[in-house]
Amino acid sequence: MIADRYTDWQVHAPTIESDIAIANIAQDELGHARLWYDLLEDFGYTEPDLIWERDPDAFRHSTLCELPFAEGDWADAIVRSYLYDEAEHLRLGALEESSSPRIRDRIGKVTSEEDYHREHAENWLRRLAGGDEGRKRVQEAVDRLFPYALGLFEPVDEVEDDIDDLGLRTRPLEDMRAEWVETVTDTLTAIGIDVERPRIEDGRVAEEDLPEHVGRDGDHTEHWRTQFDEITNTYRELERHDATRLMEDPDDE
Amino acid sequence: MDLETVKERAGPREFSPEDDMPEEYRKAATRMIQFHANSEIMGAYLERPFIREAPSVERKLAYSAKVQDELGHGQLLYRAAESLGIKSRDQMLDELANGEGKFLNCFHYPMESWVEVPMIAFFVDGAAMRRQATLRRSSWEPYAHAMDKVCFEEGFHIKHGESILAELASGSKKEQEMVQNAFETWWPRIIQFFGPTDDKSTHHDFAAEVGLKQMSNDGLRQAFLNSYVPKAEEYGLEIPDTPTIEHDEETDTYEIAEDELDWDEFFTVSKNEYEGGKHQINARKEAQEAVAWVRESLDESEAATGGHAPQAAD
Amino acid sequence: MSSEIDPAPDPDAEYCAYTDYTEGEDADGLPATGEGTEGTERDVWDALYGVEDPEMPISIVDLGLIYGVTVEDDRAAIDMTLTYTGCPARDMLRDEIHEAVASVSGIESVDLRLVWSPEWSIEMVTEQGKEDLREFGLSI
Repeated sequence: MIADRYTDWQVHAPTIESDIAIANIAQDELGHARLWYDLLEDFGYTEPDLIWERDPDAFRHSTLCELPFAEGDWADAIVRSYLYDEAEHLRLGALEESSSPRIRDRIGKVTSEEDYHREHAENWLRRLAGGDEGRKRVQEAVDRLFPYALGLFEPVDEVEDDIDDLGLRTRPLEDMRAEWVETVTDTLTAIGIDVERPRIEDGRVAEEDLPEHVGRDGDHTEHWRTQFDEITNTYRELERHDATRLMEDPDDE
Repeated sequence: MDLETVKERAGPREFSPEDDMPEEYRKAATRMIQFHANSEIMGAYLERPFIREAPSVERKLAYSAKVQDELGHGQLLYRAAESLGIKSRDQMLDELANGEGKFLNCFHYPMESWVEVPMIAFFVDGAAMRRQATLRRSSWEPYAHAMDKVCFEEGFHIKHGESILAELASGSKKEQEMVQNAFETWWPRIIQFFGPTDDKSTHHDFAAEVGLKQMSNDGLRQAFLNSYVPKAEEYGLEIPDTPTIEHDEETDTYEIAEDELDWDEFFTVSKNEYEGGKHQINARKEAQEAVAWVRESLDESEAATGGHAPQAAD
Repeated sequence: MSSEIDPAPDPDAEYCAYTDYTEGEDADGLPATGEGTEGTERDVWDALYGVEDPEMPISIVDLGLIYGVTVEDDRAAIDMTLTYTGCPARDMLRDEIHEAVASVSGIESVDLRLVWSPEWSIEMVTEQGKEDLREFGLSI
C-alpha cells in the first residue's frame, strides 16, 4: 500500500532525478510485496483472495501507508518513508533467524534493497532540514505522521503471540518499537526537529499517542476506501476473476 | 562549419559537441530533441494514474517501471538537447510547464480507462519505435546515442503493451467491445502521429538535408501500417472505416485517404490549444509549482555550501 | 499446489534446494554456466544461453541468473534468481525460459524455481557477460 502511495509522486516529484528515485523505491516495495505474496500463494491463497476480491475492511496495514499526500508535500513523502523504512529495517532484522527457511531465504535480498531506502530518506531529511522552509515542513510532517508511524508496531490481534511462539520472528513488536522510538527520535532531534517519545502504559503505547485509526486492528481512515476503489477499479470494470500472470508461479508446479 | 559542409557530411552520428555547428543546425536539432523529450514527460504524465489502476501486482510493477523509464528518457534527451548550446534543461522544462513546449499529438488526449492503455503502450509506442529506430542514425551523435538506450527499453515496453492487449482481446465479450471502442477513438490519432504528408510538413526538408532525420513521415507511416494493421487484426480488432485505407497487394503498401482525418484538430493540438491537452499541461504545471519550494531550497543549500551539497539524496 | 493452508513443504517439491543455499550462505560454484555438462543437460544450458535479459542485451546465463540445472528423465529443474526483487520483466522472463527449455528435445516438463538466496550480485556475471554489459554502456 505504501508503494502504491509512492507512485503518486511519479511524474510529480521536484526534479527528474528525485522522480526516478522515488519510482525505484516504489518498485522495490512492490517487488517485496510480490515476493511475500508468492509465499502466501504457496499456502493456497490467490492474488484475488489477497487483494482484488478482498473486503477492504479485512486489510491490516498501518494507516501510515494509506494517507494521501497533500499536493507538493515532498516533506511528507520523505518523513513517511524515513519512519516506515526504519521500522521495516527492524522488522526484517527480526526475520533473519526465522524458524521458516523460506522466510529466511528472502530476507537477505530484501534487506539489501531496503538499506538504500533508508539512505535515501536520511539524505533528503538532512537536506530539507538544512533550510528554513524545509525544516518547517519536515516538522509539520513529523507532528502529523509520528502517531501513525507508531501504529506500525501495534498488534493485529492474538496472531502476534503465535508468530512469536513459533519463532517465525525472533523479536516481539514491543521490543522493536522501543528501539525504533530511540533511533528516530535521536536522528530527528539531531537535525533540529522536535519530537516527543510516546507514553507507554503496560508495555503499550498510550491511546492518546496513537492516531484515531490505527489500521492494523482493521480500523482504517476514510481515505482507505477511496484508495482501494481506485486500485480495484479496472479489475471491477473488466469484471475480472483472476489477476494477470503470464504463467503460473513456478513454485506451484 | 558552414551549412554547405554540414549538408555534405551529414551522415549517421557525424556531428558531436566537439564540432562547431552552425546556428541553424543547432536550432533545428534542439527543436526536434526538445519535442521528443517533452513527449516522454507528457506521455508519462498521461499514463501515471494507471499505475494505481493496473489490475494485478505484476502489471502495476511493470507500469510503474515504464513511467519511470519515460522520465529517464526525458532526462537523457534534455541532456542531448542541452549539448547543442541553445537552451538549458531548466529553460526547456519551464517552456513545457508554461505551455510553450510542443509534444506529440497523442499525449494531448485524456485517458479514462485501462482498455486505453494498450492504445498508447502498444500502438503509439510502436509508432514511436519506428521513428526512434531510424533516429539511431541521426547526424547529431548525442541524440543517436540516446536512442540506443531508448529503443532498447521501448522494445520491452511494447512487449508489455502487447501482452496487455492480448489479454484484453482474449477476455470477455465486454472486454473485447471496450477495446474495440478504444481502438476506434484512438486510431485516427495514431495515424496522425506521423504528421501530415511530407509536402505539408514545414520542418522536414532541412532536418533531412542535415541528417537529423533519416526517414520521411510517409515512409515511417507506411512501415508502421505494414506491421501494425496485421497485428491489430490478429488481436481481433477491426480497422475503423475512417480514414479509408486501401491495401495495394502488389507493392504491399497502404493508401490512406488523408483528407478524411481531422487536420484542424491536429493543428489545434499541435499548438497546445486543444482543451484536453491544455488541461494536462496546466495540471502538470500546478504539480510542478507545488514542489518549487524543494527545488528552491536545494538551490539555496547548494549556494550555501559552494556547490558541495551532498549529492546522494537523488 | 494444495489448496489447504499448510505450511509444511511438499516432499516432492525438492525444497532442499532452498536449505542448501541458506546453510551454505556462500556463492560457491556460481556463476553456473553448465561448463562440462553433456547430452540433454548441455542442450538445456544452450537453450538458456539463448534467452536474453529483457532489459539488457545479455544472456541470462552470462548475467548469472541461473543457479543450477538438473535433468532427470524428461524433466528439467532450473533454479534461477533475479537481479532485483522488483524486476518488471519477471513473468516475461520466466515465460521465455519455459518456452526455450520446453523446446529442447528430450524435455517434457520444466520446473522453474525462483530463489533469492544467495543474493545475486555483480560477481555472478561471467567474463563474457561483463564484456556485453560494458558494450551496452554500463561501467563494471
